[in-house]
Amino acid sequence: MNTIAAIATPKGVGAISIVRISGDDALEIAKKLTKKDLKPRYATLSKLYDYNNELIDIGLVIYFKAPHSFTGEDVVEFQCHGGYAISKLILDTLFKYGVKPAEPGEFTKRAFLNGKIDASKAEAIAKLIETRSKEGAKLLSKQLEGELQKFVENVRDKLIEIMAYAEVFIDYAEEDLPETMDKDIKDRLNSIKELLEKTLEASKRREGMLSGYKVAIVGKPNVGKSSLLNALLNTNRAIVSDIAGTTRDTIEEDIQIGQHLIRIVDTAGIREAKDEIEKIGVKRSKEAIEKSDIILAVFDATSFTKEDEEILNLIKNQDKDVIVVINKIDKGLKIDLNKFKDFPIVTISAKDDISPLTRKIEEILDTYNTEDNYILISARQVNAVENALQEIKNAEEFLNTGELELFSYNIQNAIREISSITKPFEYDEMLDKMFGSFCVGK
Amino acid sequence: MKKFDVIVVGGGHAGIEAAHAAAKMGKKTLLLTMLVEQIGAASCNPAIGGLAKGHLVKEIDALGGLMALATDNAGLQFRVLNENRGPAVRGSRAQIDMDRYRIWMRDKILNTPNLTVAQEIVDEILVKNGKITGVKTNLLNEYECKALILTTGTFMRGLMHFGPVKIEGGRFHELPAKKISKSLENLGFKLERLKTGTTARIDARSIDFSKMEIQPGDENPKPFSFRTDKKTFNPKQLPCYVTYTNEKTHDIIKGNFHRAPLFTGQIEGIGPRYCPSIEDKLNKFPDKERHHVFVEPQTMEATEYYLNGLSTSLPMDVQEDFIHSIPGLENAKIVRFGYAIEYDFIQPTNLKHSLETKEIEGLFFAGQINGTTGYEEAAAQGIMAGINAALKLDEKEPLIFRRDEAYIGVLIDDLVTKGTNEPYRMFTSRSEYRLLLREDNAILRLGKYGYELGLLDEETYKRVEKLKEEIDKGMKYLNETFVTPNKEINAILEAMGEDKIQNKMELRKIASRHTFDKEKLLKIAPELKNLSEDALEQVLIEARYHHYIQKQKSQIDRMKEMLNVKIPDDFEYKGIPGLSREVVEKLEKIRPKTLFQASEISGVTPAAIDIIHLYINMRKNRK
Repeated sequence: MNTIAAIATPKGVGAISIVRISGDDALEIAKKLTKKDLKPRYATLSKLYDYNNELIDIGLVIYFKAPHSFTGEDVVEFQCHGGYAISKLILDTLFKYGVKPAEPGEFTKRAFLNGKIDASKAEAIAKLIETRSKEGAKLLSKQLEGELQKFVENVRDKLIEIMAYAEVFIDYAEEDLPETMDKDIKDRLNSIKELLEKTLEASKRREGMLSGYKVAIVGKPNVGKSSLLNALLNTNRAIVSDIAGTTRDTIEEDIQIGQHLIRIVDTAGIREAKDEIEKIGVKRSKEAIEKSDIILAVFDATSFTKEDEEILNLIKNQDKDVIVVINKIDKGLKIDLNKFKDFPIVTISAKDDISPLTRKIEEILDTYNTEDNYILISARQVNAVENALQEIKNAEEFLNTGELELFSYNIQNAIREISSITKPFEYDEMLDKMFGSFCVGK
Repeated sequence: MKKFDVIVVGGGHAGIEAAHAAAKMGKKTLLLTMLVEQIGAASCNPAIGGLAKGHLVKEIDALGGLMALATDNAGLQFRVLNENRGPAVRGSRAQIDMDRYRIWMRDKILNTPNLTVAQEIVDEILVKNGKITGVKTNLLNEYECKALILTTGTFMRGLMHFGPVKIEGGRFHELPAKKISKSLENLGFKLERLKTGTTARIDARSIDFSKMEIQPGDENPKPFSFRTDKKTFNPKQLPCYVTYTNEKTHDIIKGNFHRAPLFTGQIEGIGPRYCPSIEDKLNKFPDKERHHVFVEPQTMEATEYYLNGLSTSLPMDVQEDFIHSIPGLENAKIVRFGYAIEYDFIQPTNLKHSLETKEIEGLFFAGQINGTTGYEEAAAQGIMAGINAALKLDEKEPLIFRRDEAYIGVLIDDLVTKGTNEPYRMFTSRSEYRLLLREDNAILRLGKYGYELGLLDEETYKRVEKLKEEIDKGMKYLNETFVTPNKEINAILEAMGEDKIQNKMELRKIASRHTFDKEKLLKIAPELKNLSEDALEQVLIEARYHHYIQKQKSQIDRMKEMLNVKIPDDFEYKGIPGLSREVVEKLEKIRPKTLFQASEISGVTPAAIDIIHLYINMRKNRK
């Protein structure tokens, strides 16, 4: 059986979370995260690494060798620190290694298949399967609601259309087909890619709503980052100290602005800033920027130095939301604000009043929420869309080399991924598109 | 009463392959046909193969069938379509001399040992206790048999439409088969109607070819059959021509929609979207400015031309008018008018994967009776029905190809599990494993089966084995030889205009580049120079698709697993939730040996199969 994964503990409860994987490759993949051997039935304390070999967490890892496990297959449990964020990182890493998100009830089904569950439960599962096949499409679509459903079906439809385009080229090689088709396919692909990317982004922002939008404060030493942080914490410290499903990192602080939960990253870096040397400062800023959704770039109202120039270049070369914060305005504005014309600017004195900044942050975050027309709710959905996007990107390569069979191969995979959150792909849908769009055949 | 093992009804593309296969497998076989003259007739276009269809022809060839050999002998133009695309979607097509094709087939059939031919029409199917016992013909002869294969084509209650003129018949002015439809209905089969059509044939002397584009065959024509000697294959080739309809053509046709049997309600059957009539094309795509017309010779003598793309059942005066509006056909003399034909078919969901009906033992269907269109689709079913009828009489398991093994497997699986509402045509995209099922490896995939069944001769099979060995050797070398990005290899690559390598990798990975050809391959792997041309080509293709095929492997494995699940002899169906009483009764009566066999029983749904699977596992674990 292929290997599946899910978070086994309820969201946001308790000090630990358990991520469980089951299937033929469970052990092999687990080792990729732990980088060490696992003995059956032993709890091993291990560091857990992500796909890029960056440390995620330290946790207990237990390997249950088949058939002595819950599902009867090879199972590995990762017990990590509680909260949604870390377990989600582990899950994402597993997906990247080719593990599939578990369908609802799939662990139980496997357990049953392998004789790990008794007959009374079997009946219930049998009934479930029966219902599933009868109302399959209906049930699947029930998981989705409103705008999201429309969106997913729209994407699926468009992909099938693209496949029909490619297939008509293949199977009707001799017909005179419109010459613009190549470009047509490219345009269509690009628009789908954009749609999917936007949705993934929106969905990630929704995650932000739960665990806090990440804000980085960057700037040269002594520009006032620390006082800005203190001001933000003093006036806005989050009322809910432990939001459901989130973990509190010692180097992160939660604050609340308007309706929004905000998490300031690398607060340690900000506090230590006093004696940091310049190079480390820039490097640290870079890292903070990577981790965050919004960047507060702090500059001194009285002078603009080489180091400021570096910070400015840093924020110019990425596509996250940036607010330029001109601090120490009480000492008078002595620099040229034209340099920052690409960004929204607020001028404050961190020691007195930071409300212009908080208003600006709120303004930006409000726009995030209005965009959330369609957001993917479950990890499975996000995973499906991410995979579909990857397949589409793979497909694009073959348009250029003219290998339509491989182009189509990837598009079909993309359709299958998207279809996993709506309804199964039927070949006739493609034929309908093919003969609805092209006059072919003789 | 004369006794036979197998009787095949119909001498078309399906019937020929069925009768030939059964007889060659040692079964005393009778082919009943209306007109011996017309054995192997091409009712429609004078061509064999094409995209996906060429795949089928080569699979039939690998199984020892006749279609490819006949094509090589009667072909008058050979082309490989999609030559510039990937190998998985290349398709061979030949224009054929319809007369020579027919005569070659008739001679072959009349010279096949164990095979008797009789010119009679089957009126009644004889069944006793749910088992086939024989047939009764229009000449009041009765023939006994243990297996009966029906390949009725367009003949069952065939009704032709030439404009307003309706003529009962199966093809031009040939007789219809009417009583057999009744007989099938009496046996409980529900007959439905489909429609297909053909185009006018034109006197060559009346065509002005100078106004048309010429379309020659390939410079180096390749034969269809693995058994035809490639080196000496050098057929005389004739060109085809291309011309186009225009606004005037369209005005004439549109102006006569009210007289088109297709639109007046005169025709009830559903036609194929894949090859629509010209009136249908204009109706559905009114804005398209022109449609192309392929003008194809019907025989080597080229006395008559086939107007591919202009299938129609419009009245004779309209046919004449619109044809005359097309460049080069201004003075065309129509020898035979185009027509539409309606005929009976039976939903193929009545069949098992062996093409035997679920209800009547020993009764097999193949070809258009199963709702398909196309010579190649028919022949593919024909050979499988012939093989499985013979296997059944030997009390052996039927030969069933999985979807990852052959287009034939895809074709039959689609038909028997989904049924069809329009004439079913094969497309390469119907196969999930298109990269695996290629024309070029059909013989490698299926040759073994052909040989084991006694249909493919030993000498040919030895060649197949040798080729396989060579390919395996080549792939093993490419898979096991690693290269590091040293100066030497990168110099070779650069000299060939290839990107250099950055990491250590298998040679296979380099060979998989789409820019690679045999010459380049030999430069990076000179050790392969002893391989034959054919083997080298296969090695290149396999390297190219390796990554994608590997990715599909787990999917295929799961399918195989499902097909291999055995149901214990004493398995109890009663009391399993989700199974209706009717299904339980059927399962207990038939006692399928595998999950796959269970899925073949009518009324057993995929959900029921899932549930049975769960219970099989549960009981296995309890013991």
